[in-house]
Amino acid sequence: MPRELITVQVGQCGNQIGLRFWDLVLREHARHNKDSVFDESMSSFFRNVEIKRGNPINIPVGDGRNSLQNLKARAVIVDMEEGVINQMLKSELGELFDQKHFIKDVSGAGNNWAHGFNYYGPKYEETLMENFRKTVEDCDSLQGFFMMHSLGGGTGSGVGSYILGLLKEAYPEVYRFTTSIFPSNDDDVITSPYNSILSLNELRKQADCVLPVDNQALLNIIQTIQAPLAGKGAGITEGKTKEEKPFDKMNNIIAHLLANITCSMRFEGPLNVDLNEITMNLVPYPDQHFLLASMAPLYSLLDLKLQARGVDQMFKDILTDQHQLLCVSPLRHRYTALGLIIRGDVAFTDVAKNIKKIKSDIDMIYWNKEGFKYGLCNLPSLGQPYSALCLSNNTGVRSVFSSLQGRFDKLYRRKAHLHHYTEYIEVSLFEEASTSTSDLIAQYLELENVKEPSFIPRLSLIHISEPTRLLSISYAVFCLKKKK
Amino acid sequence: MPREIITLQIGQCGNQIGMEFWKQLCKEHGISADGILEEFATHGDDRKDVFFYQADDEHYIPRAVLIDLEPRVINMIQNSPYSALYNPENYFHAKDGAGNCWAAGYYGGERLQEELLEMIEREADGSESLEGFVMLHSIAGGTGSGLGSFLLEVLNDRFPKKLIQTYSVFPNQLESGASDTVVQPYNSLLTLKRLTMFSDCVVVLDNTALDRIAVDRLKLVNPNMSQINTLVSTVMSASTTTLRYPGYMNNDLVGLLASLIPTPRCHFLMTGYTPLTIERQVSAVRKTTVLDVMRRLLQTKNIMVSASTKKGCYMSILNIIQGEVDATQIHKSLQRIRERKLARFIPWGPASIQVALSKKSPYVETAHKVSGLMLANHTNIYALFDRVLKQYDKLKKRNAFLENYKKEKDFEIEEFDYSKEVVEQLVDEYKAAEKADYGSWGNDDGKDEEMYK
Repeated sequence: MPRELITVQVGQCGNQIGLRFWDLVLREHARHNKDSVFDESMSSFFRNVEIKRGNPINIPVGDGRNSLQNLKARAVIVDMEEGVINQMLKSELGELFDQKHFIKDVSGAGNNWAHGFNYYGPKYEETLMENFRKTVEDCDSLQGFFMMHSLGGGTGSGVGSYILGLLKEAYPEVYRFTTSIFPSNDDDVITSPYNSILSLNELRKQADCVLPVDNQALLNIIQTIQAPLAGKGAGITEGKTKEEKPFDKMNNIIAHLLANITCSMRFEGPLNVDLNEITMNLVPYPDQHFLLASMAPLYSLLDLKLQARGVDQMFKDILTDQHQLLCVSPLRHRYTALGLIIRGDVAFTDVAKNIKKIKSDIDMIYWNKEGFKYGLCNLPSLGQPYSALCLSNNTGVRSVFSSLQGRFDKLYRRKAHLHHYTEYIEVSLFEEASTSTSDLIAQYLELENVKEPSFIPRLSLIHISEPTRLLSISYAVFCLKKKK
Repeated sequence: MPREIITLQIGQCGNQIGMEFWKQLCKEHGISADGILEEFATHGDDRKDVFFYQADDEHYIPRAVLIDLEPRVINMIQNSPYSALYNPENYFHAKDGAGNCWAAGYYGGERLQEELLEMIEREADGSESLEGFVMLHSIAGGTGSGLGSFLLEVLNDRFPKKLIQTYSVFPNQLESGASDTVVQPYNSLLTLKRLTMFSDCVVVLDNTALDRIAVDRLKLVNPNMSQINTLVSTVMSASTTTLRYPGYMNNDLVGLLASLIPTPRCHFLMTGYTPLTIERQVSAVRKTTVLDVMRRLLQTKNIMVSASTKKGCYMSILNIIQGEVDATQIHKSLQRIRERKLARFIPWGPASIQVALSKKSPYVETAHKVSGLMLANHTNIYALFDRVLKQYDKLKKRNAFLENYKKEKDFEIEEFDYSKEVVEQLVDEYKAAEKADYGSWGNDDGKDEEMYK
């Protein structure tokens, strides 16, 4: 019985990531699925459809041996302007998407969160819900919704937030995961702080788990890889298309992230990790569901001599700054929980040994010193014999929120660009969002600063000496004994 | 007089161990992967009907029920070479999984109890004289712990006279170990309460120790899960040899357990096995006399639990020795052990090491003349429970990770407190068992008796 995932791609960024994601997933399954049958692992992301006289009929998984007819992705595509969607349809993957699951408009949200949230959101509410209803019906046992969007723009942030709210109301027990692209410090959109903080408020309330990603971090990763590589071998960033557009490499990394999170659900392994287990183990308090992601290795190990050292090196790398998908130094902050998803041929004694090492290297909160969760999946990812994905609940995310809030405050104090927003929403929403973010930062800060209460021994009094005087003060000596 | 045993495999861990266990049993009885007796298996004096029954077409089918709340592991078994072995009606899997949440496993089981009980009762009806159930599961995850707990309660209710033995895999306990689930203290605590109250005997298996043994004793550089589970299956099959190859004594489970468990609550056993080999690899052990085997079994490094046997004392020991053994040697070995004080026993009871001799399977070649399994009831097992309590306290004080438990509407948060009480009392009882006045412990407050009714 397959466990399906529905991806929701919102906005330009979301759809571009989506395109790379589907490309990767197809290649992964193609490599795994040599007899081209529609087996259960494919059913997580795809539907098998027979197109008879223009009326597509869904072919169920059955015994996992039906041949592939036409694959359709379980995806809902939302964008308020047509450019990206048209590009998608024209590309090689165009056949994968079902036209009926597209929700589009012409003019776009103009980088305005309020326009997306309060105008387009309600306008398309019915169509959206209808679409979701149909996609959910096609699923046997839906596990979760995966939203891909950015927070700096208008559609991804505004409409995306609105959709999360709708999903929470309509399908409360289905997990809502999001991959949210946070704007980097020098972002191309001026009002991105407004959009981000307003979305953050919604993400805090409506999402079950957020994987924040930062464009700057992705750029750093690409630079790290390209320096030594110089054209050698297939790395994690390469897609199938020869003509690569500028953001393709970065989106590929995110595609790998999403594929690795779900690999345990699709392929077999000795220790499986589901999406609900991820939220269960890594989210101690409901508000703090922002997980830091990092991956290693970032390029394939072509040099087999390095194999033996490779695994340990992978675990060391995964904690370093260069491998994080967010501009955060996790080692300088505190961990509340750490999860590892390991793919490929890694013995679980190696994992145990390395986790032990990691335990001694990091600052783990005192009441959860054993807070590790790991999963093993047999199938390695494309081009690499083994890889690891680390999802951690780290207080370092507060630095990202703080810097966002700083930029927000700079603009808000001057009430700059505010009139675009007040066309659709109240000013009070800004206040609310800002307080909500400060609150979140405070929570993380508290966790970072909490110290283990030291054991205060209970003492009993044995003896008080006679008070004596020395010059102008008098003092007495109290003798205390530890109570048994 | 056949005393049949039904095996219940629950959750990912339970099913993976179970798979190895049935593989081992088939090898020992000369049954092929699809249940047909091999041509060379003509001895006929082994009792296959304890664990297998014969279908109309001469197939041997294990008396096993395979349960999981998600489909992956069971699908893996159904796609393995042994898929034709099991009764296809005895698979049960749901779709969603328990997500490492005890509450989801427990109440999931409650919702599915009709179907589960129907399967179990069918198996029970198919046996002439059912002796009891053996449950395989882990206590740190969601299904094995939650659904396992629910089944323990239900089986106790429906089959009050039947024994329930469990092989429970405890999570990595030591500071130096790697835990694989963050919320394991919660799940372990809640399950420990049911293991204490509703099970008759718990064989404790510990991933840290198994791993250590695989690396140290077997010299496997990178043991994978399957090889480690083979260790477990060796132990399980060895502990059932006296049931399957009948001899003079110990032909049923209740006899084995009677001498091991002096008081009803102290029913958590440790195991040790020697010599350890996997697939006829030559291991480091050369000489295998009875004394040697028995001496090695008492060494901490052969014991599959990471609680040290140097502290505390043994309440009772059972050694099952297989192979070419001269009965007089046993007496000498016991004397030696007593002289050298290799094991410290409780002050309030007899220092008993029971030795059972059993036959080996004629179809499985081993490199050693003598091999032995030890099942021991040792008081220091409370160290494991203590650790669980400490970790639980730390997390609970901060109310961390409780959201998912609260999501199950029937789950009360007080359940944690009740479970904690039970486990604390268990720890106290083990500690008291080390002292000479254990006989009068617990007599002053009759409250204890009430709780375990």
